[in-house]
This record gives sequence, structure tokens and C-alpha cells, in this order.
Amino acid sequence: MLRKYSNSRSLSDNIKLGTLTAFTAGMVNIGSLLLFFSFSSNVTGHYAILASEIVKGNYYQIAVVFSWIFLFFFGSFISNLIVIHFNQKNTYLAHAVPLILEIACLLTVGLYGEFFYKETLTETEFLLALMLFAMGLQNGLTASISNFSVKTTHLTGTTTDLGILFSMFTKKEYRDNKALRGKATLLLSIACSYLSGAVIAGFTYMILGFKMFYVVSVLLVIIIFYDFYKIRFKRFIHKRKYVRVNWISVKGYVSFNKEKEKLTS
Amino acid sequence: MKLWVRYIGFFGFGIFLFVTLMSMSKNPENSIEGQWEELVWEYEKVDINENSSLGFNSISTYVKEMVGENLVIHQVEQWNFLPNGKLILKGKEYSKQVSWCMKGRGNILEIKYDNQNVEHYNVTELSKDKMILNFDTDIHTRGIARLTFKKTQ
Repeated sequence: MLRKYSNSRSLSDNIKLGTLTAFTAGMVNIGSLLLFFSFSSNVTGHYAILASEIVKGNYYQIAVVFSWIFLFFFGSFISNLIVIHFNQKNTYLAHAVPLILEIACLLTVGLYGEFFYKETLTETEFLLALMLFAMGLQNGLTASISNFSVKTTHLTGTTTDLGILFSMFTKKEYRDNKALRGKATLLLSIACSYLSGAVIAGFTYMILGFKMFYVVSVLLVIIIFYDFYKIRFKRFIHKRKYVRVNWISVKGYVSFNKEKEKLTS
Repeated sequence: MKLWVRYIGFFGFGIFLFVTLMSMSKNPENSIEGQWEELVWEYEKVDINENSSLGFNSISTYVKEMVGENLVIHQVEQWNFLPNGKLILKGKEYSKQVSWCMKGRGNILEIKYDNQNVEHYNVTELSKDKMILNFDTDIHTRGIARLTFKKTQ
């Protein structure tokens, strides 16, 4: 999911990354809506709210909503900055660091909410800001490493692309195009996964409350460790093959020497 | 101009804008503190008798009775928001202490009762002397009810 970059990624890599991150985004978005009465993963609504607050002249709300949009942007900026500057040195690490930052943000929200939250407006706005930054990090990462084919925190573009693709499938030449069918599968899985995450968060909100963010963090850890495991596993297989090859060559060398000795004696 | 200077300038401008806007405004939590008196209850779609010729303002009591039947606040005439998160609701022969807090960007007022019942109101307008709260209700009526307050203290 995280090891490969841009065009070297397969459809399967993108589907795995897309579904898991979309699921977490759906959970976080509904979690923030139920706990704080504001969305945290889609900023289109925030732009509309910003415009309406500008019209009303509510400076406080303008500042708060502007900072939320700015933090989403900053999260995406940081994510891509890490990816493009460290990709050459260690691809896996460059792709994992934004997710580690996201986990840190979401765990802070969960822990603070569970143990310290006094329900003041400043706290609510700060926790929402952290969540928007985390979602910016996630969206920036998935879009950056997948060459802009995976965007998981909002579904406006996804739904538009699905509409376009479904209309294209009315023609046989497009229906038979494997790449287009793959793209539709990817977008459908992202949309379904986001919805599932949101629905599950809605049902479990009363039981889990702020613990919901621990669940999201665990899912993100799975994404990180899935590739870590794959890298280790591949190295292990490679090492084993190398040892086996060496063992065969040693065996060959020994039998060759034995035969040589026999011939000389 | 060097690239990093441009970037620092861009992000610095964002922070400057945020700080300036914050310094020009008042936190809604502070603005709401004090005593508020109910002025009028309104409703966007009242199921009134079409033969009746009552005006919008004159149906305020009717709306209040109909919409607020199952709400604690329908007996209330004065709302006193205290800084410690307590709200004292006062009526003619009624007084109750509940908890309040604000959510979202300061646009949602949450009221918690002793029995853990929670009510949410949209703060549509909040100025020095006027507050308008909206709330969704589907009890007997459909749509949004609106409460207008005047600050008395």
C-alpha cells in the first residue's frame, strides 16, 4: 500500500489504500459531526460557511473557519513535502511518516477528549483543527503517492468521476477498457468504504465516544505495518533463497572436490 | 526573492490574518454570558387554522405551546447564562439550573438537563443585546422554531 509510488502502483495497491483510508475518514468525519457539530474531512462545506460568515460579518467565525481550511491545506502541504523530499532516500518511510503524524493527531483528540475535555468552545475548535489537519495529511498522502487517483476524505470528486465513468460505460469501447473498469472499481470501493466507516461510527458513537479515535488509529497502524511486514517478508524470502543458492553451490563444490580427490587417488 | 521567504510570507500572512480577526472579535461563549429575556417564539410553518385571521406576532403564544410542549424551556421566560457552564432558567413560578456549552464554531448551543437529556439550538444571531436561537422540532409541528431574546443584564 505504501511502498510504491505514482505510476508503479497497481490497481490493487490503490484499492487497498483507498478503502482503508476512506473508512477511517468516514469514521472521523461522522465522529467530529456527532461530538463537535462540525465536519472535519470535507472542506467544501467550510468554504460555503466561510462565505456566509463573511457576508454576516462574524469575525470570530471567519477566523475559526479560515483556520480550519488553512490547517487542512497545511496538512496536505506537509504530507507532500515529506513524500517528495524523502522519497528517494526511503520510499516506505517517506510514505509512512504522514500517517504516523495523523495517528499522533487523532490519538491526541481521543486522549484529550476522554480525559481532559471540559466542553469549552476553545477546546472544541482546537480539537476540530487537529482533526482537519490530520485529514489534510491523509488526503495529501493518498493523492500524492497514487498520482492523484486516490482521494479519500471527501467524495465530491469521486462521485463526479463515477458519474462520468458510468455514462462512458454506455459505449462498448469504454466498457471493454480495463483501465476505466479498474478506475470505476477503485472509486466505488472508496465511496462504499467511506459510507461504511461513517455508518459504523454513527452506530458506535454512543458506546465508544472519544474511543472511536483509537479504533481509527489502529486501522492506520494496520496500513503502516502491512507494508512493513511485506518488506520484512520479502527480505526473509530473498535471504532464504540466497542461503539456499549458497548451500547448493557449497554442496556442488564439496561433491566436485570429492570426485576430484577420487580421480587423483 | 528567495523561495523560502515567499513561503514564510505566505504562511505568515495566514497566521497574521487569523490573529487580526481573532483580536477584532469576541468569543461567542463570552458574548452569551448574562441574562436574556424571551421576546417572541416564531415558527416557519405553523399549522394554524386557515379561517383564523391572527397575525404572525399574535400566534407567538400558540406556537410556544405547540412546539415547546415537551421541552423544559417552554415554561421559561428568562435565561441566565453563568460563566461556569451553568444556566438558570426562570419562569413565573419556575426555576431550574441546567448546564450549557457551545459547539461547532460557536453556532450550536447545547443544553444538558439533570436527567442527561440534551437539547441543541442553532445560534442564528448573537449580538450585544439580541440573540436568536433556532431549533428543529417534529413534535406536533414540522420545521424550525425560532426564539428571540433581548439582553437585560
